[in-house]
Amino acid sequence: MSYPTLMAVTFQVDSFEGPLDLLLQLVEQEELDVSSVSLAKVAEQFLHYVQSSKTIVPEELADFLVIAAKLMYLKSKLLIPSLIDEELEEGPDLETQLREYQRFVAASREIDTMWKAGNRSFVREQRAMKRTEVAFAPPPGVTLESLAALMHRVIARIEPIVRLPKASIERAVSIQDKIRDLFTRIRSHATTSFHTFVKDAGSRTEAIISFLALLELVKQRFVVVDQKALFHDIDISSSPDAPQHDPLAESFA
Amino acid sequence: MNLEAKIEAILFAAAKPFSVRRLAELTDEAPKDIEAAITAMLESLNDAESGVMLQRNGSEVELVTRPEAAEVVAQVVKAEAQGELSRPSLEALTILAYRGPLTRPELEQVRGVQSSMILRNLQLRGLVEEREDVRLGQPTYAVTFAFLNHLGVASIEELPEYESLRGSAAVSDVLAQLESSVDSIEELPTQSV
Repeated sequence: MSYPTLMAVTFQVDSFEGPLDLLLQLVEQEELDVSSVSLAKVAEQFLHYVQSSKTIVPEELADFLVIAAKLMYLKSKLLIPSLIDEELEEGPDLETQLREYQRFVAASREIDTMWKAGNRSFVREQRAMKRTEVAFAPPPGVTLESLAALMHRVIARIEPIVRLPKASIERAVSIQDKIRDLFTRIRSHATTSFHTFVKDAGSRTEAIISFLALLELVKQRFVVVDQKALFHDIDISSSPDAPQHDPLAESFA
Repeated sequence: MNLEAKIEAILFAAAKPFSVRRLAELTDEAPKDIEAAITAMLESLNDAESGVMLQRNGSEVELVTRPEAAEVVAQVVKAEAQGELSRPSLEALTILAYRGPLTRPELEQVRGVQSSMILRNLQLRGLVEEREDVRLGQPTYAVTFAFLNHLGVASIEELPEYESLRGSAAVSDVLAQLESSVDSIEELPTQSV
């Protein structure tokens, strides 16, 4: 066994995470397998690092010294096989410990690859499905009477909506009347004006309906209209090429 | 409806891990029947052409998406950004994954260096959790579902070389040696951390 050249060959270990990490790096740099012989070979380098390293934090120094003591013992035993120290024989065998550590380091590299691959699983987001309880939760102070009153208000609010179709039928009927009215006037007078036409209108709605009736007759080309200026009265006259059929036949057939 | 279907429905609706014991309570079945159903589900569901798989961690199970669907699912579900793992973190996680649950001294025995800071960091990141079982007067630590999810495995048994690293006699020796030495330490008064 010759170690004289050992210290001459200095490997540089950049960083290490603990005594086993340092020891493993030293062994691997020597391209050795983990064995008691190889451990003895790097023992002095290990000591050198422990003495000179600025990166070993005080809390971890004890861990390094435990390994250093084991290394020294291991080395002594190789030189003097009869040397057995009961106390140092206790605890994990360094060679076994380092070999296992080496296997976990190898496994951790594979885990790192998997970690970085991004092929991950997802848990379903919890907010997605919430069961909603159906329950009757009236505010405090609700009585049968107040519920009945509320129901009447609800019905009253619905009424205009229910009546809506009836109203539109009424409107349709009155447009027909207005068309007939205007058509008769044009037949007998040949001309009239919008103002005279709506003069008798009892309501705003009736005036609007009259105007709609006029538009309908214009559309069907029974009448032509002329307005001299904005907001002026509209002159209504019979169209020269008025169709012969009843205007009501087409508009509301 | 058979037990497997019931378990699947519970796991889907609640979207969180369930223990065998809790599932036994919910379904009114014996825990060993739940175990059998889970074993069957791990095979049938995970072999089926499904987008979801059953994930097992210790005595708990959870329903998760398959890792192959990661890309499409990532568009609709946000995963917590975890970033890269430092070497000591990776080391500790690997040891806990293969050999866990372990006490802190046991983990330190394998790593050869004190690891309380690492353990705390990993717990903060949700990758390691304290387990209920206490050994040698110490709490035990194991990897979480979040860790398994990130790797996209159905259980730690799927990790490379699981059997040999898990069952390694040498590691057991290393830990057994620790046990004897810790026993002697524990006889001393106030060795609490």
